[in-house]
Amino acid sequence: MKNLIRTTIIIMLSTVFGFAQNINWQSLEEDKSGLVYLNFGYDFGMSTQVGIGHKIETFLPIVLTADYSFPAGKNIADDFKIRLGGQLQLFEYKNFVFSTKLLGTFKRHETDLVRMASFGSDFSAIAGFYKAKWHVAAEVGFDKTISNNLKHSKFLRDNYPEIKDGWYIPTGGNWYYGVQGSKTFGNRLEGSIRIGVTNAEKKDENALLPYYTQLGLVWRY
Amino acid sequence: MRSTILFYFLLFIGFSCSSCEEELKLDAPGSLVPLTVVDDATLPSIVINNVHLHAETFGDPEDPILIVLHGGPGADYRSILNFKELSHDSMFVVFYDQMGAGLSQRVDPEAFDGVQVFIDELEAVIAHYRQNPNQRVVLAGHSWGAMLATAYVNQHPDEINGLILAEPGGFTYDQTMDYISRSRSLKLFGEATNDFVYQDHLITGSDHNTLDYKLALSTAGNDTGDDANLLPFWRLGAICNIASFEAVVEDNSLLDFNNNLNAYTGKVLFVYSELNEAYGAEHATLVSSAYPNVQLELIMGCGHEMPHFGWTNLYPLCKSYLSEIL
Repeated sequence: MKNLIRTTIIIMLSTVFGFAQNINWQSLEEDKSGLVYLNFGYDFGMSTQVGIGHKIETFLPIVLTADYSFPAGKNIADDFKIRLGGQLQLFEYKNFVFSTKLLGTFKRHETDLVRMASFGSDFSAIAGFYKAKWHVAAEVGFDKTISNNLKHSKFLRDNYPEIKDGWYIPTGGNWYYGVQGSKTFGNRLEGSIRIGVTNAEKKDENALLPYYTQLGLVWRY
Repeated sequence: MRSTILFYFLLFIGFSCSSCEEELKLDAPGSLVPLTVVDDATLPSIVINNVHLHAETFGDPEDPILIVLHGGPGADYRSILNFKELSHDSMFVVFYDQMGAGLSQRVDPEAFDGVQVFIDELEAVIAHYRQNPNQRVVLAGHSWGAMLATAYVNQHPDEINGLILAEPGGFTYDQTMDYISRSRSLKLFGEATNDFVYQDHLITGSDHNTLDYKLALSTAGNDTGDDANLLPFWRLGAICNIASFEAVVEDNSLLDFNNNLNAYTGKVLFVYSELNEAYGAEHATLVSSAYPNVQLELIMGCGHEMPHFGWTNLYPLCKSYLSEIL
């Protein structure tokens, strides 16, 4: 039970900051604090992601965001991921910026055999070179599934009657390492790219396709 | 900001509910996959080459032996249990889960050298049940099991008195890869493909319990003419499957059972299914041509899982074949 309390607190804290899209800190202007974004790529499946963000003024620059992504397939509502949080700029020297993302995540996955609903966190650090119209950066992060509720289908329960439904804690995690970049077009539109590899935690078997890619568009308002 | 508050609320509710229930662990024995013979003494088992194998027999031990080989590598014999009906036709029917598969003992990846370890295991299983050198032995193999039966015959052509082969992927590396590429076509935007890879986002592991569970959830990706989600199984062996596959990918020559099959002159019953479009008459003819004496038959109304979904049509052929050769 202590684990649950601890992880709940961690996630609560993390979502104070939350998740963010690729942010070019140098191109965020005072009068355009909002952004919407659309991403497409491979992220444990061919995924589409839509999201919104809002820059808030604190002692450090923070962009709060929320997004929803789903993999391709006939049933687009059975698998999805919701992320909420933000990106915090911690350090800036000339055009070099170091920032961190702290996320709370909710993932759902359903097949004919099982329905999974999980809570987790996604923490990453980003360091790179930021100009007004473009940026390139390296990122390293860890996506942890902390608590995962499994509910098995009738077929699987008939097949193995002793199979246990319920909360499995934890059920895995993946490190990711990659690069990202963006290019601004005009004063509202930005194109972005992320590409990298994933690596399962500890000595766990890696994902079948241990890569991620993302092409995106950001509209500022 | 409203969405943030809503998220906190859902998160709180989610964790509050979860905290009321038992915390479960993926790797806990018996939680998600059944125990093996090592942990469950009530399961029927034999010890072969120092490995505990889940095994059952049906019929009179003095009758001709029919050893039934399951698919995979890494599957189990639950879906091919219909073969036990042949025990009523004067056959002593033997089933076993191969090492690292089904409910048999799990072993380290290094134990899987490709195919030879399974050939040696089969040889020892035959020796375990054969009561005298004159007792006749027939092998019946499904999918990978049919490949294993052929690999055994390729090395021991004089040890076997009959062969029933149901859609072996191939008897060479190229034949097998050709078939696998058709049977597991990658549809980048398809539901099955994305389900297959999305689970890696929520579950990772390195232990047998977790990996076997993940493999079981992946079975829906097959495109071989049957509803794979209705196929009964006990437990799949992920390490067995992965390590065996990696071994032959690393050394393709390990998967070549086609250099001595001419030495086996007995008749072979080779069956393929109507609904498995990835297999088909052309592939069946190509693969079966390795044997000089083949009875090639099409099983109507089912896909790759003929012993389960097509048994009504498969059984009369097996019975007729066995009465002819024995």
